[in-house]
Amino acid sequence: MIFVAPAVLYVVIFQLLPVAYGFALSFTRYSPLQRGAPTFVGLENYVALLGDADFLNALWITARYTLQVLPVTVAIALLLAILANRPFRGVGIFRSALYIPHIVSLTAVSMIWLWMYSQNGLFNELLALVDLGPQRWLNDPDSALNGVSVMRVWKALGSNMVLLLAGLQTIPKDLYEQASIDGATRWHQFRHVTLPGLRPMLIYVVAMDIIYLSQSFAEIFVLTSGGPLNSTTTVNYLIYTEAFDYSRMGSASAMAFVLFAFIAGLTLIALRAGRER
Amino acid sequence: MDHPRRRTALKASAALLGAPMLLSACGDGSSESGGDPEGDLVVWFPGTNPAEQTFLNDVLIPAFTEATGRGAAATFIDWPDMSTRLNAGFSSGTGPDVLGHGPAAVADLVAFGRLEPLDSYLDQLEDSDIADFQTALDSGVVDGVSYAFPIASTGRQIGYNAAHFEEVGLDPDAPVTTFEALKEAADALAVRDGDQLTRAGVVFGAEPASMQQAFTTMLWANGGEMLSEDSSSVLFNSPEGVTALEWYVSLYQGDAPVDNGLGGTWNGLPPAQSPLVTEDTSMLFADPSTFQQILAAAPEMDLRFMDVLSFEGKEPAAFGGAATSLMINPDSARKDAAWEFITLIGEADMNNRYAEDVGHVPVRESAIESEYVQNNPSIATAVENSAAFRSNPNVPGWTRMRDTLAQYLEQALNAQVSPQEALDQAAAEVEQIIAENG
Amino acid sequence: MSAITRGPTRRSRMTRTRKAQIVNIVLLTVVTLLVLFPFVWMVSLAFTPAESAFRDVTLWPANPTWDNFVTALTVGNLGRAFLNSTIVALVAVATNCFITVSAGYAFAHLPFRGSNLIFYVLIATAAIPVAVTLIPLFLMVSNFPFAGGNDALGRGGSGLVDTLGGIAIPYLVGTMSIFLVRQFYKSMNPDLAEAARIDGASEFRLFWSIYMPLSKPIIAVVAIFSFTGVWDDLLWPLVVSSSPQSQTVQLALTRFSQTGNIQYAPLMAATIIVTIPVLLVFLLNQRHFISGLSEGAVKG
Repeated sequence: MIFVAPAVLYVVIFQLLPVAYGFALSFTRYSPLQRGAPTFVGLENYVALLGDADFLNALWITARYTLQVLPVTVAIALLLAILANRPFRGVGIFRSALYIPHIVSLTAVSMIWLWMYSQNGLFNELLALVDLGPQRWLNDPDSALNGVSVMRVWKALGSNMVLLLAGLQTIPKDLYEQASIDGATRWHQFRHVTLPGLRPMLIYVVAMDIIYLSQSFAEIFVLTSGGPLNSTTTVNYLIYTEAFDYSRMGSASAMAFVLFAFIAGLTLIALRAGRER
Repeated sequence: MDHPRRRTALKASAALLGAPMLLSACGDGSSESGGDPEGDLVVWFPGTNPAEQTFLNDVLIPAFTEATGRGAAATFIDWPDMSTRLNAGFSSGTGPDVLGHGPAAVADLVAFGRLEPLDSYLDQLEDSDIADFQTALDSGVVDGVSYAFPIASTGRQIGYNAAHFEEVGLDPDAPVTTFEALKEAADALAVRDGDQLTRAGVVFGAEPASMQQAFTTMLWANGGEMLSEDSSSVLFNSPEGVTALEWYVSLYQGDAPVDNGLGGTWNGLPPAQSPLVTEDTSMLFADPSTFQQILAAAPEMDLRFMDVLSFEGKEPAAFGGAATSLMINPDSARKDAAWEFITLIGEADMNNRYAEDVGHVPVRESAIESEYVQNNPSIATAVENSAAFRSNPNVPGWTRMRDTLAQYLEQALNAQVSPQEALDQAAAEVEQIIAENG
Repeated sequence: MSAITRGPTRRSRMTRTRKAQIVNIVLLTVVTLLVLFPFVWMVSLAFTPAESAFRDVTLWPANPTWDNFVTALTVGNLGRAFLNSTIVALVAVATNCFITVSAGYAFAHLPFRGSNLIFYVLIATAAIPVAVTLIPLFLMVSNFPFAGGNDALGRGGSGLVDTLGGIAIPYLVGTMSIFLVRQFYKSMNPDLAEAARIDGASEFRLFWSIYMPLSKPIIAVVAIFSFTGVWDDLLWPLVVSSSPQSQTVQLALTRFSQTGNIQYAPLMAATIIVTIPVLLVFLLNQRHFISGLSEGAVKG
């Protein structure tokens, strides 16, 4: 008890209570700018969402974004973690370099990406080298979400890699030696030693990615503002607009709890899939 | 390990601790005391750039202190963050004395009783002063009452590359005055490779607010209106609106498109990478501050500016009016001091200096005489045309209406729906928003 | 005979591991260069004279200059912001390392009735968008009892608004870190402590003397993440801080990144300066990722 009490106490006061307040607001019409108390409207906000084509579109975009960024990030991060796990002089430099994208302020680095994707940017220059015409990258509704995804993978690689590196530390070296003596190939070692040993951490990484990716907002705000043609409007982007630009906190809260149900569903599927068989 | 009773007690005490913190504030939000009447003036200022901060901290606030014997503290908040900040501040009654924002936010703040009417203060100004502000004061009027005081102006204009004009045999000194002629010029300026545009004739901004501002400019310049006088019904889907949008769509669709900026996020690009500077377009529809930055990034370019356009036989008009506006919190205990602060930055000399330091359009028409305006053609054009600039409707829920309209405009520009359908659908949704806020 | 055959085999095995090592380093170098590429552009821009930023886009600026760094350090409020962010971040690192590590350990190895439920509820709070909890949390901070002129019911003053305490509140305990620590301990053998437990050692002693020493990698990660979390957040300080005295680094950076009027070159320089402390925190902590644990420490 004593081990968890401080954490539980803190979370109840500073996290659960605001969440409960937000949940209560989702049944009201409320603007933080108003002086009076929120007006109770029952399920109105939720019902309105069901018939809101923009919201349903945003849910679809969120799902697509999460499910396409997640596996690519985890796969590359896993490869990097394994490469950077071998001790050699200077490995810390590589680890730090790979972690840099995660810590660089998004505002500044997004300018670089905007330029790389622009008409005369780096990607189009590279295409020109192999005699291909310029692409419209973020300006085309068919490719904008993929463009944002690439930057997100880049940004998330570092944190994923660090977690998997820490996970690799729990796998005892002697297991590899054993496998090696038994004549296992590197693939076999990976399949039968690394993966099972890494399972708890992999579960964490996947769950964390789902939770954070489903709430993507910042990179969309700086790269595409949700466009073109709503092709990058995620649910959390809608929530920010609704909550702060339109001051419609009730409706924004309702969106947040639908998003929560969505995230919880995805996470549970992932946890179940990752359970030991 | 298990002590259910202790756990319940723990939860209960947690709830007891946290609940008052939340509840005592979410009652009616009127618990604010308004602060000490003699204390420093608290200002929330939109804009974070170093020039703006230096002007306020080193010029304006010392002048204010000298005039009133009172200090002032400014917090600088970037534009997109202002609403967030105001929502949080007002929710707990920790708002400022003076707040700055764009006109788009005014009507909502008024609807929730967060702005002090300025009419009695404005009455203290000379008539000549009021006239000097031209249309900018209109941007802060909601239902006939003034709530926001303009300190910087804006106005959409077309900047063009004079060298390109000469290149294709157009006279850069006799520029275009109508939208019809603009399309012809754009067609002549456009460079094509097969059906690919390699250089656009003209580029319009493609972000939601930019699309709305462009369309509204065309609508007004075609004799149309956004909403009825009492803001109770939508008028933008009128025949004038449809022709205006058809013209707008023709830039991108049909046999000979002249604009390839659709879906573009170039607003976020550095000025040095603007399509005007990279010569990916010959003309650009933008605001004077953007042009100022473009000129700073490409000083060698011969960039010139058109007067406000109209459709043939109609009156010229364009989106513009106030950009930054200052307002007073009605709960402030220092309202008179707040007004003194506002008039100080609105004074002719001070306002020109502010505009010059930051690169804005000064708010007074008399500023046309100043050296700063004379030396900056984009700013000069904006000041000269200030009578033709108009502001968006000041109605509660405006930001939602704007984004809704923009969404349908984008569909029309992409030829997903016809201009008539787009405007009709947008009108239906906007009328619903009017009803919700009515 | 056998001695002769064993020699070459061993040698070939050694060259094979060395070859693997080389391949490993080459691969790592290639990926690292790719990943660093946008950052290299940032560095290049930071040394470009402000007026020609993005003008002639070259990786090596024509007239490299330190001016942008000077601007970043003198024009902005970076010094004070550094101090503020460092204080808040170190407090968050300390609380997270103690509170989340012990909680995560308990959820993994000392289950009590309902602990799973509590655990899932804790994690669930991470799945609620900040946009919704921002204002309630702000209300709590501004109505914090006995602070900033408030009475016992939290009325009358400004509470913890515009104080470092108010800024620190949301970062003190990361629920995702609790989850992380639990996953880490779950992969360790619970029998590890059985012998000592039978000997009558207290749970706290077990945790401290048996598990703690094995927990370096995870404590390093929690420290890195909580430091980065504080350092990189903009939304919360934006709402809570109002004077330059309580500004954090990300708020100080907004001076160079105003929407529609960005000071590109100084922004890049300031961003690089701001990145360095986090990088140092990372460098110091990554030493704890040492491959391989003692035998038997973990379950197979």
